[in-house]
Amino acid sequence: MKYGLLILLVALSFLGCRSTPRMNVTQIEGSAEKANVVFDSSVIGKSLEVLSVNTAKKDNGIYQVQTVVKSKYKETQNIQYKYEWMDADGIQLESSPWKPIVIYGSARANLAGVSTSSAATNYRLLIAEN
Amino acid sequence: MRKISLSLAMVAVVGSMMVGCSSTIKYDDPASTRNLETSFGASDLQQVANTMVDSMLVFPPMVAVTSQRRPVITVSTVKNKTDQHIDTESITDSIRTKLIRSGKFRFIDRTTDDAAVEELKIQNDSGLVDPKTAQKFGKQIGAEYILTSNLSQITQSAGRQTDVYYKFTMSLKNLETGILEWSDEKELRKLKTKSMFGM
Repeated sequence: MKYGLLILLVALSFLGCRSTPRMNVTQIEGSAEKANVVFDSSVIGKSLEVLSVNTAKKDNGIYQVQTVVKSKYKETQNIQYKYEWMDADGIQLESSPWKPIVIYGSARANLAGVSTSSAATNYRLLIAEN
Repeated sequence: MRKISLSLAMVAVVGSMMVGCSSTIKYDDPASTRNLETSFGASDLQQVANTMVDSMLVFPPMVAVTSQRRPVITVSTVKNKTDQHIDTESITDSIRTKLIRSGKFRFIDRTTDDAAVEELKIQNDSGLVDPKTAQKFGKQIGAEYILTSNLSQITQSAGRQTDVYYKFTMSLKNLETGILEWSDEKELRKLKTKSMFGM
């Protein structure tokens, strides 16, 4: 009886504290004018492959970027990504919130970003596990 | 002797439980996707605002309009059809701020009209202000479009799982013609699985 109580207490002590998971971030840098990609594959490169980067400039000066990634896993992955936008001098103008996305096994996903400022010319795409 | 060692072990375990979780306070990333509950949270608000702004800025008819001029928009309150109390004005505030920051749209804000009328009365009627610099009544610009939005929720739960689906729909209506020039929706789905032992 007492041993049962002891086991229960030990189990409860494991439940109490969950540490915040460490977030490893992969960065992809590019210019909105041409698809010039610098891909640091150290973290997410094991699980994701960048297939293509498309950029478009709208008539109102807004840039649209789409990075197509493919999962190397057979299992579903939960990742999150965000775009940061810089002007021609490299000064950061804005950043989107982290966007969660579910990528099914071996599937492709489009990581889309829009610059809300027409002064943005360069971007940085950050990908992390969710 | 065995009883004593058992009691000691229990005291040690209880003690370690109390020591384990000391509360700490630190700053965190405001754009984080971390969720504590299935209720509509900060990350959901940011995603809704971000998706709506991105969609509106690149929608071809809006691109055509905003490449020539900066249309004037007014924002109506969000119809909150969820079972939660949500500060929906905060969602439209975020959307409006991002759209203003894009430099493609101009906005009028009816919520601050009382203060504006008060100030105009002082400028025009009190005799304190030089009439050359006093701003005139009846010169405000009428909005061309109105932004309307709905937030709805569907909840399903069975056993230890709760599935909450949110849908935010936003439309841009031309006030003169009544035509919806743009519309988009953002869906969010949250799944909560209660652990066997947890609360």
